[in-house]
Amino acid sequence: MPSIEDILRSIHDAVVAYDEEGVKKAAELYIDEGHDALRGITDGLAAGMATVGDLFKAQEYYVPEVLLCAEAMQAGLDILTPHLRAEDSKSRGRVVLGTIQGDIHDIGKNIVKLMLEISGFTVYDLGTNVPYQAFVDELVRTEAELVGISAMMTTTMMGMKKVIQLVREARPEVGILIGGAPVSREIVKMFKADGFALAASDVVDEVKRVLALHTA
Amino acid sequence: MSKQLLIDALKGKRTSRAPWLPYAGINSAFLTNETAENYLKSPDLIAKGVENAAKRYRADGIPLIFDLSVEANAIGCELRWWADNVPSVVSHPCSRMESPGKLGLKVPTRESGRWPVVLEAGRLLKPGLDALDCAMVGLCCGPLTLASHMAGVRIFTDVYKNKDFAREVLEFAGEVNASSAQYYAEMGCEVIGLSIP
Repeated sequence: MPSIEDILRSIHDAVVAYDEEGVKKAAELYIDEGHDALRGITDGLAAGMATVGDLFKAQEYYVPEVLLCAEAMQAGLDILTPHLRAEDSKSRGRVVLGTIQGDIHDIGKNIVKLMLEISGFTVYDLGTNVPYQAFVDELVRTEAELVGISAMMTTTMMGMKKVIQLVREARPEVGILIGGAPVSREIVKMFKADGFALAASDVVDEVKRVLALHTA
Repeated sequence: MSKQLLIDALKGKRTSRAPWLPYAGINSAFLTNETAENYLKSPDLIAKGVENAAKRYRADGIPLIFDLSVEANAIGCELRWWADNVPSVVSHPCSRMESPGKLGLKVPTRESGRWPVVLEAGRLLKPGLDALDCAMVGLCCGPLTLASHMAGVRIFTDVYKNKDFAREVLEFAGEVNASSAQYYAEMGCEVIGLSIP
């Protein structure tokens, strides 16, 4: 009988290999063996995506591989999530997410959403081409603690300054993350956001860091 | 400004200096105080804008337009227009894994979509660029990009998971590219490129 570590390793490796059937098989075995679903998600699936993020940063994986891995991970989530205990399903925080007005790119945003959800965050996804004010309205409606704004183009990225201003006025206690191809640390500083993640796999740590800043 | 310099460089010959080919694109609209939408819908504004940009930047070559939505629009994809950017393709007919053949999609003609605007813009622009010794560059939307317009982002995983479907979409996109290249050649473009993959 394989050990729990062996099965978690199988889940991890299958995610990295974008082996959807392999993930399903390992996840089913994991549940059949009576193991804790949350650990399967964090130490199997999310750990696999973290490795995928490292491969992406090392330019060994590109967007298509990341998408395939995300699909494999989703297959595992579909099996493990129904077995989460009620206390494990409790949200670690609420995040409003969207691609900014004028921009319809969403691959990165969707991967970020997946990473946050598997890490226990509740995500309110506004989709793409989100009007500036809509970010604020959703923050007020959901009482979310953090907003993530995505842009793929330098032209649409400029709108982030306006959203940040509106958010600071309406809910100054909210953490603000920005992201997307044109975004850098210099842009974060210039726009006075709170943070950003170079790869989707880094977003969970960055969200935790920013939330800690705002609750300190 | 020297179109021959650009042509020589593209053929791998050593040149006296690096040729200068600014992808002015929608920047040409900005330089002439036009919105992107008005600009891209008008052959006169395109011709005026590109010639102005070629002079201002002292270009050896310059794209007629840098807009990857032309082919998708000519196939029948819907566009969302912006004031300060090229249009976005917002409908993807093959996104439910129906092949171009099954959907009855046709390779665009010179009358399809915005091709009449582009062809007329090329006709108006060519004499001015020739006078500036500046090459006119035709940019076709590359087959993988066009396939992503047709099928949505799923094409990036379909090339692995649903190879036959992806192949059909990409082959059709290639045929569309060939027609675009033909139209740009007929316009007199000295350089024709695929942008991007």
